[in-house]
Amino acid sequence: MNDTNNKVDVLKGLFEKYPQPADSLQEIVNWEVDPYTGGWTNKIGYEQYKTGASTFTPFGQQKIDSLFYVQRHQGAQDSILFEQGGILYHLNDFVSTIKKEVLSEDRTIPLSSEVGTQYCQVGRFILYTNGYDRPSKTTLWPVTSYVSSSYLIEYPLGFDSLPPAPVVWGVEENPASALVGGDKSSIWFYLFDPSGKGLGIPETDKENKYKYKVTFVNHAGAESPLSTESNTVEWTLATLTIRYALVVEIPIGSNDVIARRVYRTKNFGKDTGNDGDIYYFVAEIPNNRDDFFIDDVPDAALGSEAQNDSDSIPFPSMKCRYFGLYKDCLFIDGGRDNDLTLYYSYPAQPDKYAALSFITLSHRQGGGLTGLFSYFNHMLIFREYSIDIVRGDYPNFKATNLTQYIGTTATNTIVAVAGLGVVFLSYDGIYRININLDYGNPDVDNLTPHLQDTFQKLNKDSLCKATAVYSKKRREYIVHFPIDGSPVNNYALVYHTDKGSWSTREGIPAGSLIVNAGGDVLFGMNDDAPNSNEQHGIMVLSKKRAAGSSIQGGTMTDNLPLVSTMRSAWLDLGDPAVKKKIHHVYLFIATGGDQDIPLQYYMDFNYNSQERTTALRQQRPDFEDQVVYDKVQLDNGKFWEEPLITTIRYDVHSAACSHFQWKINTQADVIVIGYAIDFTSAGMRVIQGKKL
Amino acid sequence: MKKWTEAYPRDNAIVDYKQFNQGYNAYKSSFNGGIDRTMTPSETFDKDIVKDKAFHYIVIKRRGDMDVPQTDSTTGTTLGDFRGLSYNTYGGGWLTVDEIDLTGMKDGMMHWEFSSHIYNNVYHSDDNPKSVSIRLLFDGLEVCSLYQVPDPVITFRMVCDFPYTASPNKATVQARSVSPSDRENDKCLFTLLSMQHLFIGRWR
Amino acid sequence: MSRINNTNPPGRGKELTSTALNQVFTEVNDAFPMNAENVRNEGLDQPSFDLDANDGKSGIILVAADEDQNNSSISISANTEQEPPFISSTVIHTWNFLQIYATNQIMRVYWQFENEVSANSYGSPIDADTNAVTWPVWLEWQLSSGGAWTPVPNQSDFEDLIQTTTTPGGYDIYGASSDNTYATTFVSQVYIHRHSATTDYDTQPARTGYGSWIYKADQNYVIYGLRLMCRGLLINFFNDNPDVGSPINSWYLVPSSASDAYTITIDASHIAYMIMEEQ
Repeated sequence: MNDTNNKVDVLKGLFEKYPQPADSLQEIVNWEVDPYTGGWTNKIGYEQYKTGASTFTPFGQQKIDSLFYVQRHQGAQDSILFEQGGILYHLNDFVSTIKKEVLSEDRTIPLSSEVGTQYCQVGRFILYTNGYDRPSKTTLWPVTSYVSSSYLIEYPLGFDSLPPAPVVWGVEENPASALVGGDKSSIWFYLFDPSGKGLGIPETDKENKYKYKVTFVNHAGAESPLSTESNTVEWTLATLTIRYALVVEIPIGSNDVIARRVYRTKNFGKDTGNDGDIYYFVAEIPNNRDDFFIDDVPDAALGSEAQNDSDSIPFPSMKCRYFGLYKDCLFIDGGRDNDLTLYYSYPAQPDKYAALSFITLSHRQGGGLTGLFSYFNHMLIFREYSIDIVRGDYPNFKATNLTQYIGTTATNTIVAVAGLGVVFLSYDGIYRININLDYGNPDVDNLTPHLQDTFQKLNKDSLCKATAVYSKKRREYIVHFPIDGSPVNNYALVYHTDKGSWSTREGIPAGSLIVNAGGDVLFGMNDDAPNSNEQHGIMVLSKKRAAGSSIQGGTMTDNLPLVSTMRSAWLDLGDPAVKKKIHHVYLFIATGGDQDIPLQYYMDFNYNSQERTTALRQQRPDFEDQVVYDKVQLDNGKFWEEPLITTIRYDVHSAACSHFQWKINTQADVIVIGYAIDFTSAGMRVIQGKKL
Repeated sequence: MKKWTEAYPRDNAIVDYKQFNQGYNAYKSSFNGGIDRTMTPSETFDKDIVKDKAFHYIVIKRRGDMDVPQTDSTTGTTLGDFRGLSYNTYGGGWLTVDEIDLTGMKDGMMHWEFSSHIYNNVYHSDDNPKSVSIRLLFDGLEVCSLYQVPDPVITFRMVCDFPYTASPNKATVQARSVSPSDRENDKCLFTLLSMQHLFIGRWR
Repeated sequence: MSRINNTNPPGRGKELTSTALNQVFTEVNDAFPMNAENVRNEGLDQPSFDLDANDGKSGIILVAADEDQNNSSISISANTEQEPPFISSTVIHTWNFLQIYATNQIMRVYWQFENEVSANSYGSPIDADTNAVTWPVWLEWQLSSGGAWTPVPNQSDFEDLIQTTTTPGGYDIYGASSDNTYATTFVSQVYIHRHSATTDYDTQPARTGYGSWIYKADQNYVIYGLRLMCRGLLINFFNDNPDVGSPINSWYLVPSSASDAYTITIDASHIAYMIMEEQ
């Protein structure tokens, strides 16, 4: 008769294949890593964004379709954009009453098979697009409080079209005439005017001809395409030898235009020899108000040549869905109808695109474009079934293939995690890409080969709803995704960098995740609230021992804490063919006070016939109890405590079994570090197998 | 910065000092240099709460009359003539007529107003049109110019707005007239009187 | 003091006493009120400030601003006296209001007026040498209700005795020196130029005149009104023997031959002011 002990000092994480290492766990739901002991603690929960509020104002009951976080000055000024019910709002939480301001209305609500609005920060602009509505941009500062949403202005991204052509007026060839025609002007300079201003050849019988074009300049500093050319103004002097100033009507742009630039040919009358198709810079009108301009700039004083028509084109992809920023250029996809084309802007000018600034992705087996992610010295192009990369410098970007048959539609799960590389959720696992192409070959690894059980349940059709963040405060990569046919996220996997292992979370209804400057993880609800009493809006993962809150009987009440489950691996304790009698299970915990935890146990893969021990205190068994809240008195000679590592022994009266498993399932707070099993093996072996 | 629950003692949990400090420290750190716009009420802070030069700084300078080395001491002896430079001492080109060293300004946008009276000796303008041009330079860059004022006497104001870098700064006023022709007199050619400057630096 | 100290935080093995716990909490109270030390760099934003959505006069930068328009017309005749009493200066535009103007605040006043000068003929004291014959328009203020009007600081009413004559039987010179014309607009009467070996006197056309005055208050004031005044004519000269101060370019209030010899008519005028905090 052998009395042996199987000890696991430190528990690792989830492992779903068989056989399982003794230090892994079959099930670990709603835990995080305790920074003091390195063990698992279940002190997690979530609460609403506006702490202590009595209602869920200002959020509506609809699910939150997308979330974006932007901050400046190390988090001193941070802003959240969220989308509900087809309206994109800015959360204004810095006035006395928290409210939401409308940034963009009448937006298309994404289906369960569509990824929501994508965002990108370029300089001081926040760009956003959803593949249906006009891609737009905004700036979130300066902010005022008293005129609602007047500080939120939606500007178009890029230029819709060419500016309208300018109209140049004719000139009155007889300036002595008091009657000037309705479309003519009579502003002229004498030949001997020392200023040299004025257009035309100041000699009789010489033909003078000019044409104009204009461009717009928007408040991001980008110049629009050149307009079509104006009408031609022409004159021939009969008797007087004068030069003219011309009146040009110029178009007014949309709300983001701050200046117009006027371009003009040189005099291309037949006596000049100038080309009537080359345009030169005349002047910039530094406003969007003046609707006419008087041009007195002589040909000799004209500026440089205008850009070519192909140097700036109207925004090439009005239905773009994804943004990427690489080498200071904005990359956009061609939309769902043109999902193999990638356009890129000029450096530092996300509004300006040249006619030939695009890349066509190769081979259709890779599927359409599903995401852009800039990493290290390249940009990753995620597609449905492959991953390409873009390298090079403007304007010579090149796309090549990185891997085939690994791709994803879960655009919002692509996150760069320190120590791992670019991590993303795919159809059969969570992958990471770790490459530095200048120095070595790429690594594209599956991080979860041992979690196939979970990925069998993954709902691939709604995978685009999946969302992930990395929190430096929590040191976790958290990904929420839909399983079991659900169209909304209802399950989460968490990678804990401290332990290098995975756990799961259930009961956290995260539709979109963001992380703020301090590392707190915020999420938007994944589904519409059934009524106004059920929680809706933005929530925050925190240490609060509650699963959010709800309005009960008119009062905001905390919900019960999340249920935390920890189920050990199926332990064969050395030899699965030998029957063992289990005597005790020791849990190595950090003391938690008078909160009682029962242990359940299973034998030989049974799942229904569980046995349960008595609930035991989280106090050191052979010492005086540590003082606990609600029982201790101040000034009574008692001391501040800290969690002490101790061993709690659970007595297990099991029959002989080949495999053994224990489980705790609780809403009380507990920290579990490791465990040990006391068992006796009498040499009894498994009986012969059954036959027909 | 905004904080959520950092510690949540349950009933019957041990009286853990680490949990207490974790929870308490979160809020204490917010007060000790972490208050931001999410924690302050709106529309409450007025001038009393604002330090000097938090937003802006205004400097006024009264600079008197133009006083340059080219002043001709033979001018100003008759009614109708000022003491100033003449064609005996000036042949054309830009002169620096005022220079101011500014301190106390932070990076931002500068609003500069320069006002003065101009006197312009126009008697021989038929032969050689007389005019006064003025340009303003800030840290060596021209920010404003007044081109060829022909009046015999006029009061004017130049206004410009431009971005600038923090003090020390140098604001310079330069003026010029035209070069002489064959027919001129030797009275005061031009001068600037009662020059005054307003500088508003704005950085928030 | 606004920093919250934590001199005795709970630690391992420290006794659980009410005193220690209360000390932890009351240290927070001792830190109130909050001051600049408690606020993050860039932590305050526009909504925190008591701004003014209607006109921007929050007192943080702009304290007050206002304007006034006068559409009536007035003609001013030239002075004919060689010595006091001179023909009184004429009020062009009176604007009464009540405004506190505190020490170190900056006041900026801007004005403009339409004007037209005229002359019956040009004679003494105007000749080929008197280049700058001018009408001054200047700013005055009233510092008590219904009280006297005075030129604003650094401004004269052009009746100052600036040079006592040294010639027996001569006349003293009244006018203003150039360091007292900071709130003046000079309007030129005539363009005197040599033309074909003679001197032409071209009366200036109708124009708009502009002026401004800026000042940093050296004490507290209560302003009850601003007004624009005009008189004339002035001729420029160099005062090499002033009664007060060093030699300086100056303006001489000259007598004209007749009161209607030279006239200025001032039509619509506009005055605006701003009072700002210096910093």
